[in-house]
Amino acid sequence: MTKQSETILQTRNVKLWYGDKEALHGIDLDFANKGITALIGPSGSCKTTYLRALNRMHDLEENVTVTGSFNLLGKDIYAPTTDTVDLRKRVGMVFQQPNPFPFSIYDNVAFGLRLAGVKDKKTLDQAVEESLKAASIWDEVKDELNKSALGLSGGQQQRVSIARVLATKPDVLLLDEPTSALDPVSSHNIEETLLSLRDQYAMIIVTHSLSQASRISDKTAFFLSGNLVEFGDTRKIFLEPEKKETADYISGRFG
Amino acid sequence: MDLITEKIKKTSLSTKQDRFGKFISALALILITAVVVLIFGFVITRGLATFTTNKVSVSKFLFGTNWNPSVVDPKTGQPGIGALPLITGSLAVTVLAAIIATPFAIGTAVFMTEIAKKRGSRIMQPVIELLVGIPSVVYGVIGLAVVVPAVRSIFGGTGLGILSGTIVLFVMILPTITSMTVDALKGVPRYYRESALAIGATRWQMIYKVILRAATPGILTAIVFGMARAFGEALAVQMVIGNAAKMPGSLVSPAATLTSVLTMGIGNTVMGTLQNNVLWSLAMILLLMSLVFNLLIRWIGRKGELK
Repeated sequence: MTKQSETILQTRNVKLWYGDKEALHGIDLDFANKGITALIGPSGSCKTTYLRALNRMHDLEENVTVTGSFNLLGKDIYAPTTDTVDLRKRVGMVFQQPNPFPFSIYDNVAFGLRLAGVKDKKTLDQAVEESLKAASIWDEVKDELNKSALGLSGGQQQRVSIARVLATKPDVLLLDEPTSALDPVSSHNIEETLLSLRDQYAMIIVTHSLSQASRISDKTAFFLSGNLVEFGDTRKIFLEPEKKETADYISGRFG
Repeated sequence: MDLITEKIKKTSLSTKQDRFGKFISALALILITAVVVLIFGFVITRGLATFTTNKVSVSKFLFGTNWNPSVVDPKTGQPGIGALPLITGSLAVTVLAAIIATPFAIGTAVFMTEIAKKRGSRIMQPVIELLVGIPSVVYGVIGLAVVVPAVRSIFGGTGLGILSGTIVLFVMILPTITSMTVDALKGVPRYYRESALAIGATRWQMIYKVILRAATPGILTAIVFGMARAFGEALAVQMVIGNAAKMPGSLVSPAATLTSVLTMGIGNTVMGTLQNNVLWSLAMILLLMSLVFNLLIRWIGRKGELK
């Protein structure tokens, strides 16, 4: 990375409680406005928990308390005045399970725009095409946009899910283990898709695959038991980690 | 013969129990199937007697508007066996009750599953279960004491009629439709909710654009179930509809349904007479309608599988 890019999202001292049990113990992380940041760590290290805090998905659950500062382009995500609907448009999320709605491919991708009130057919057509192209699935589905998205393969469904999020033009894309339910070929396709998007979006990906993190990410953050152990350029984390825990995890000695 | 061969050749105790269990289940299945087949056979042979023995034409029965089997119509020289007023009455109360009950049921179910989950399961669930269990005669009595006078004071007339029948049936089928809609909404996977919210849907948009849409087959099934119950309900309707077997002129003039005529008349006719046979024909229509409702539910279920 030659040119220092701007920070789009900055979190400081993020703590999260399930009931009175503290799960995240103060996470400080900065995310650039472009490129991929991988969150790695063993199961139970609360990396997904952290990810879901970034677009307030924890609001859906009871008994979860989040504190700390979340600065998205100068605005506090958790400020009482923040509109969660608007926030989630800007911080889109792709889930572990490919989960298109039981509608046609077109309706799936157009969903977010229609929610926002876009009715013009031309605008929708164009946005659907652009998003599907950006998610590298246009060529596979362009002739069957009116078929149900549930008829696609898992990998295709996941790319439609990505297109669905891209259609709303988010600033940040959160990806929660997007390839863990997919076969290696589909995973590879998704990775290619993400790499093609790295110049346009800030992407934060939770992954259990170390090789995936090393292949696609620019920065890597290593989580362990709700703590951020180490954060830096992916190359450095993988080749010369500073902390012993990181080195152990990378080399597969525990986790 | 050595011990092991002997052991293998003998049927073990668990195999015997297994066979016994299969035998009992098969027996139960055969019994139930036989009962269903016999009911259908009995009702249909009896019901067809009107047309075969008494030589009544099917179209006169289905589309005739004069129902008065015990009196010979001087114009036609035949007793009045036109069942159209009854069929109309039954369909009218059923469809109207379903139309009124559906929005309430969906609203209640959405409230219970999406908006106030805790209160929904703690307070609403038992209330709805209670409503399902109330005997229909109680609904009828309340209908007669409350609904009929209310309709009378608002619209005039006797208060008996399709409107009163509709209101009573609406209350009766509401819990059925609600509880089945609740099940349908609960069956919508959690990730639909999450991904709808994650691309900027409000809670309301999530509910009506994703959850209700994904649950549509289940909700339709619930409505058809409610209609089946309304169509077959006899006692409560009979108490409030007025039992006048003529084409309903308005919603507040007395009318009759297939079930009300059947329950009122079956004890007062002699087996084998035309008057008795036409009642069996009514029963046949009811049976065929319930078959139609059943097939409709299955068809919706198959069509609606998420794919």
